[in-house]
This record gives sequence, C-alpha cells and structure tokens, in this order.
Amino acid sequence: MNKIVTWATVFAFVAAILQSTILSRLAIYHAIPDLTLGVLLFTAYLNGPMTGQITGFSSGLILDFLSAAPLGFNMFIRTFIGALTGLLKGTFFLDVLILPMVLCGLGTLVKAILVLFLRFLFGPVIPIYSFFEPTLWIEVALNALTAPFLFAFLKLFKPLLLPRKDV
Amino acid sequence: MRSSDDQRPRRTAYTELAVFVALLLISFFTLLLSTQSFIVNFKDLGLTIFSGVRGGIYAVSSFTTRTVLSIKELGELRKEYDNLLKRMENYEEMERTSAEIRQENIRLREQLGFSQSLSYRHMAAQIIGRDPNNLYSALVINRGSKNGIKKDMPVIAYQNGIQGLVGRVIQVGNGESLVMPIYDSSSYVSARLEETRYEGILEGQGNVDTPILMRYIKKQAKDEIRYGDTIITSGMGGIFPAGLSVGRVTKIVVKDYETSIDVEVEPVIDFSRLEYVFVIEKEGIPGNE
Repeated sequence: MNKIVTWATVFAFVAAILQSTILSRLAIYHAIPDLTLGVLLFTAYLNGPMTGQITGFSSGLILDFLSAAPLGFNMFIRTFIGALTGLLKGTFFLDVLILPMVLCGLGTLVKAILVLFLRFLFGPVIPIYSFFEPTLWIEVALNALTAPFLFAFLKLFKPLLLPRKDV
Repeated sequence: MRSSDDQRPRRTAYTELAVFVALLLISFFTLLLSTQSFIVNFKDLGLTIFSGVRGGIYAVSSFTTRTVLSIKELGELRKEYDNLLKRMENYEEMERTSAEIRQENIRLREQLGFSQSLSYRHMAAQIIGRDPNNLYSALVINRGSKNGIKKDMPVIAYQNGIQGLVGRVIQVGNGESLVMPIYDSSSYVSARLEETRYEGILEGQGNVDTPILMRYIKKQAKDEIRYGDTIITSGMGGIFPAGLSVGRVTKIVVKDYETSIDVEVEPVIDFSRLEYVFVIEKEGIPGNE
C-alpha cells in the first residue's frame, strides 16, 4: 500500500504542476480540469478506502502547498473524497468511458459540496463554488471529458498503482 | 461461533474508519490553525520544496512551443535538398528566433522604460503560472525570498502606458511566490476616487471578468461620482502606496436603505494579457521607511 500511495502522490504532484502551468493557459471560463482529483479517484476506486484516504491526504497536502488555499483545505476535502470513492471499490466494472466520466463528474460535485461545508464552518475565508454560475459546471464537464483519457493513461501504470495480485 | 475469517473484515473496517477519522481531524485542525495563522508557515516551506519543478516545466514548455513548428518545416525541406536545407534550417530558425526576440525586446523595453521611471525600489518578475485550484486565483511569479521578496509586498504592472495595481504577495518560497490579484475574493484594498477624494474599500469578486466592488463610499458622493472616474489606492493600511491606479468606475449602485454606496470598478490592468510585473519593496515607499 505504501508503494501505491507514494506513486499516486507523485502522479498527483505532476498533475498539479500541469494544472498550474500548461493547463492554466487553456482555461475555459476560468475553469481547468482537476487532474489531481482524477488521479485520486482512479487510485481510490481500484484500491479501496484506506489507500484512497491516505492518497487524498497526501495529494491534498501537495495541492495546498502549491496553491493559495489555506493549509488543510485540500487535505480535508480529498481525504473525504478518497475514502468515499474507496468504499465503492469493486461495485462496478471500470470500463473505458462511462464509469470514469461518472466518477470524475460526481467527484467534482462532491468537492463543491464539501467546500460549502467548510465555508459553513470557517466563514468567508473559504471561497465557494456558485451553483448558478458556469464555472463549476464547466469544471464538471472538463473533468468528465478528460476522465477516460486520464484513466487510460493511468492504467498503463497498473503495476505501480494496483496491488500486485490485481495487476 | 464466529470464525476469525469473519472478524478480519470487521477489524479492517474499524482500522480504515480510525485512519479516516484521524486524517480528517489532522486536516481539520491544520486548516483551523492555518486560517488563524497560529503556527510556523509550513506552506512557505512546502512551496519552496515543491515549486522548483514548476519553473522547470515552464521553461521546457516554452522551449517546446518555440521549436516545434520549425522542426516540422525543416524536416520537410531536409528531404529535398540536404545541404540547402541545412542552410535554410539555420536561416529560418534564426529568423523566427529573431522575430520573437524583437517582439520580446519591444515588450521588455517598454517595461524597462517604466521601471526606470518608477520611484519605488522594485523587482521585476514574470508570471510563470497560476493557482492549480479553480477556487483560487493566485498568480505565480518567478521571484522568491532569495531575491528579497517578502509577504505583503505590493505588486504593480505597466500596460499600454498605464501603471496599475495587480495585487500583493501572499506566500513566498525560495525562488517563487504567490500573488493575490485584486479581483480575488479575499482581496481588500483601501482606495479613493481620484477626482472627488471619497474613500472606500475595494473588494474582489473572485473572477477576473466580474467587476471589482468599491464599497462603503459615503452616500453624499453619489451626485459627484461620474462613470469613468479613476480609482486610486489611498495608502491607508500601510500595504499599498498611495496614488496607484486601480481602475475606473463602470457602475454606481445606490441602495436607499443603506448609508453608503457601492461602485463597480473595471481594473486598468488586463489580467488576461499580464506577463511581467513589478514587486515594490515596502521600505521604498514614502512613509514606510
């Protein structure tokens, strides 16, 4: 499990760098795909809740370091999403198209709801998604559309991201 | 009698739950402390450690963009005429590089001209990235503590002959820093109307396309404010020097039941075209020495 978490965190770090540099120039209505979330969802769904929550914690920590978000913001959200997604392990067959899109789309919405929850606890220091503005829905669409490609890419690294018996 | 095999999944579930709760509590208290700024700034340390890769990625992507078209065209010519293609390759690459250098030279001369006229001590910086989180709008600049950058330093820019406020430094790593732009939802700037001198607070709305709101302007100002009036920094609060252009009035919002009025402000800086900025040293601001 340590190896899987380490490699998933490395992939999440690379994704965060890409989001910050290259993808930020290709933003659609100020939204960019959240590739780190996609990496977390892939790892959590295939490995279960323990790996998911620890990967969420570590990838959230890295994202907090690279972002203006307060330390603990992404750690909290992604730990929760990682654990929740891990509980779904084995529920459905991970196909090429539909399940990745559904996972990443719903994962984005869960992220937005968790942000609302943190806003409720911590007040205006936490910015929130507006459900009535296009930015959130464009991010949902972008995450869903990039999910099949991201999952296909990550499947190439199955020996690093899956337990040996599942490879 | 329950076998040990039946108990194992239950133990695993309890362990997972315990780890989950522990991680959430750690995250929660970290967030609690970081928003109250109780502890040593681990974020600056983490930014230093992890952000060095970002500069490298930016350099690689810029180089790839510049050379990819030339490589394709040069490859086609090379098939037909080897010797001539080599000369053509060199000439065309030099021409493209020369054209880019000319354009960059024009841009840098403009910035240099502004820099030489600037009365504050300052450092030039380039924007090399943006916040990877869609909820935050921080800009990443390629200067850090090793260059003398400190937290809360004001950041300005020069575009189309106008000097305008960009934001302030909020996080400093060794070689990179994060800048909160004035349109960020957590940005507050003390400002005043240049002509009428009424004061207010500029609040970002979180989106570069949404006008910034200037609030708490005395209601008696509503008859004196005109569309297009310039907003400048007032110098109150000690972060931003007085007199920096921020934006222009685009709309006046008057609510009968309130004792103050709000004004929508369009920034003078076009953030979508922002490449170079200047970080002002606080000690160089009159009144801060």
